[in-house]
Amino acid sequence: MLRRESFSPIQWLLLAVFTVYCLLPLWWVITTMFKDNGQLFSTFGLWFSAPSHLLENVRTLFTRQDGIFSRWLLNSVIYAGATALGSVMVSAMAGYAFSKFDFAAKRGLFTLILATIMVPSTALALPIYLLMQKTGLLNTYWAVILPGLVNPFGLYLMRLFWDAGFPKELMEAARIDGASEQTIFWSLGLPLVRGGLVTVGLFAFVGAWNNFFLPLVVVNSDTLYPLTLGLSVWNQTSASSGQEPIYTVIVLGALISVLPLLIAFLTLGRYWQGGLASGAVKG
Amino acid sequence: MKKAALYVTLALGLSALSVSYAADPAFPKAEAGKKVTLEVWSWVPGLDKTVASFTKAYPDINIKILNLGGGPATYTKLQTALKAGSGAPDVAQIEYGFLPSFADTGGLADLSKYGAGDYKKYFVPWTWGQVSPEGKAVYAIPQDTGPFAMVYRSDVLTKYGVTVPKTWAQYASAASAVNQKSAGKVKLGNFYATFAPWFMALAWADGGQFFKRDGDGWVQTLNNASAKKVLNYWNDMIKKGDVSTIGAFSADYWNATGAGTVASNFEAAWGPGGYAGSMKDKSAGLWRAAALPQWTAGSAIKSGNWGGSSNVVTTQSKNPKEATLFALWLNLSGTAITENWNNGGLFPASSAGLGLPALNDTSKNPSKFFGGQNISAVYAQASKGVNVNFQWAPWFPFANDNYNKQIDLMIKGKLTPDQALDAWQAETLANAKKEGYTVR
Repeated sequence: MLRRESFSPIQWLLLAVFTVYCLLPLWWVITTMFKDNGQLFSTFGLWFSAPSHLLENVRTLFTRQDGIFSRWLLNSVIYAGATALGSVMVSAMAGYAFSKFDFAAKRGLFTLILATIMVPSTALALPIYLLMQKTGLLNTYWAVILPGLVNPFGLYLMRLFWDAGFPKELMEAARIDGASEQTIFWSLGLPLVRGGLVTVGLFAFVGAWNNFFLPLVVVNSDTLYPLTLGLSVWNQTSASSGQEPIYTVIVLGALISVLPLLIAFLTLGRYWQGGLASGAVKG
Repeated sequence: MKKAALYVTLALGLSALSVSYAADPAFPKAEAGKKVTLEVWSWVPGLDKTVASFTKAYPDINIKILNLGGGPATYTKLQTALKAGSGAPDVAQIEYGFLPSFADTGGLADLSKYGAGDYKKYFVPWTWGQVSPEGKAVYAIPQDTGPFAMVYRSDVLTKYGVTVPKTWAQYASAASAVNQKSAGKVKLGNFYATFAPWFMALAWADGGQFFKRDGDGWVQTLNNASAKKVLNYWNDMIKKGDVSTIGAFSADYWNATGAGTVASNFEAAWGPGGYAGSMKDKSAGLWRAAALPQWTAGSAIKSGNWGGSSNVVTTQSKNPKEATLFALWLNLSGTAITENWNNGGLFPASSAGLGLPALNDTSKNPSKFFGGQNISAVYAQASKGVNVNFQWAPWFPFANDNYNKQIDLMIKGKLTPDQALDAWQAETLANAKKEGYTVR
């Protein structure tokens, strides 16, 4: 039975303060996207000011540099989508192997993989750069996607989900019924760890979507930029003297760039919650 | 009659052309028939247009530009490529203060090998000191500069009966007069508490030196005598309330200057463009520029510098000769300097560049915002008075951050100016040693 919690006024107040604290920056972003650069500095930051420049900002955003913003948006979708799908598959298969099969040096290998979670991504930048350089993949989509496919934390999570969600007894029963190993993995196993797939996929998607450092280092052409890099370059060039500042346009771009994440969380969050909870109970 | 006028115009135009061509030094010859492509990383606005003029003169050299907007991200990318030993551009833009940390990677070509030393005489002397600190290797070609001068609201100064101060003593008494007469509402000056380079430029003008190469190691003197003199001077005015401490480039600051409650400041040559752009109509035409006040009355104008950048050639470049040629052309040809000024407000390091018509056009901003005064002339004079012997160190970024902490404590009254500078020196020194530098 779920007991209905009742909050004391002080708890209410605390929660309200934290909510406001979390939402204020977002609110600022929303009011700012209606302004032009002059209003940004001359009017109160947390309220709208007339006249509205939203349409003008939208137009600038999608037409500046021959409409390259749309290209960046598409690039981000490609990078994050491919990374999420790919790393879910790699993690699901590798996690399955660690969960269901016995092989030489299994414990050692798993510990090694876990240890790589601790390696900060900045330390990997130079080796990744060199790898891409030697294989001739610098300044291609692959340079951003390939490094993201290997996701040790995803593998670890998937192993937990396989351990908890797909009992060995079920596997053996399927084998007795004559199911092939392929069928067992694809048709029987995967649907049972759906929560895990969504969880790992969301993590990978958010990570790749927000990734700034990797594309900064391995991509040179502005047609290959993701949103993070493109908006940052606009922000920098806009701040340099002699340039027309377009801060409010960039703010609008930033808001648009988080929309896909919001959508992903709202539509997939249900699975994720369920997945986390089932893992917690059974694990 | 009409024809004669046309001829006169033509003749004038031609002579103007020949004058601007005469101002260009003879650049190194490009190898005939050798087709090369140079990759250039720069954040100079409108560089693509400038480059079009270059390729017209040198059709065999193709230029590919990558603009990442400057700042830490650009430097990270460049550092990675230099350390990896491949993928770096032929030419890159680097600010003076960051040159030593890039020179330390060994990834910057010594341009004296490609004849750059012959062009030293065409640059304002101090800029060459920045790119060739020991006078031997040349790590870069100077590009733009930020010599210091004073900007002030002529209307506010007139209102409070203050003449333009020529010495720091006059500036301090003027600041206290304005504060008293306005009952504290108007401040003559403002101390930028979070910009170490602003403070360092003021100490630089007094001959202050913060870093110096010493054999294979370094000497760091953040608490040098000039620094102490300058900081004590400002702290006295801050304590008396004669100057404000509003953050640079903030909305508060532009509101104060626009309304005339902050009536003067000390800005680099790129600063006035920001004044014109940020205040727009407010106080337009009321500003003027003057030489930096001096410590000794009647002395020659001495100044410091804040900002500016240079063009390096990397050791990874397969065409270092052509890359050097491009870097020289970009910063010495009248065409390029004019375009860089018009598109990005780059105040040139070239001596001849300071006299170009575009810089001295008083009908356009920033001079227009300054009441049509030729402020480039003020800044050109300032640039000639910048001390040549001023060096940076690879760990300057740390010093830059640590400064804010010490100055904050000073303004809160927890440290005296001397203590703040001593702490700045000690903490930065400890960190530099921890990073493995031989420094004392």
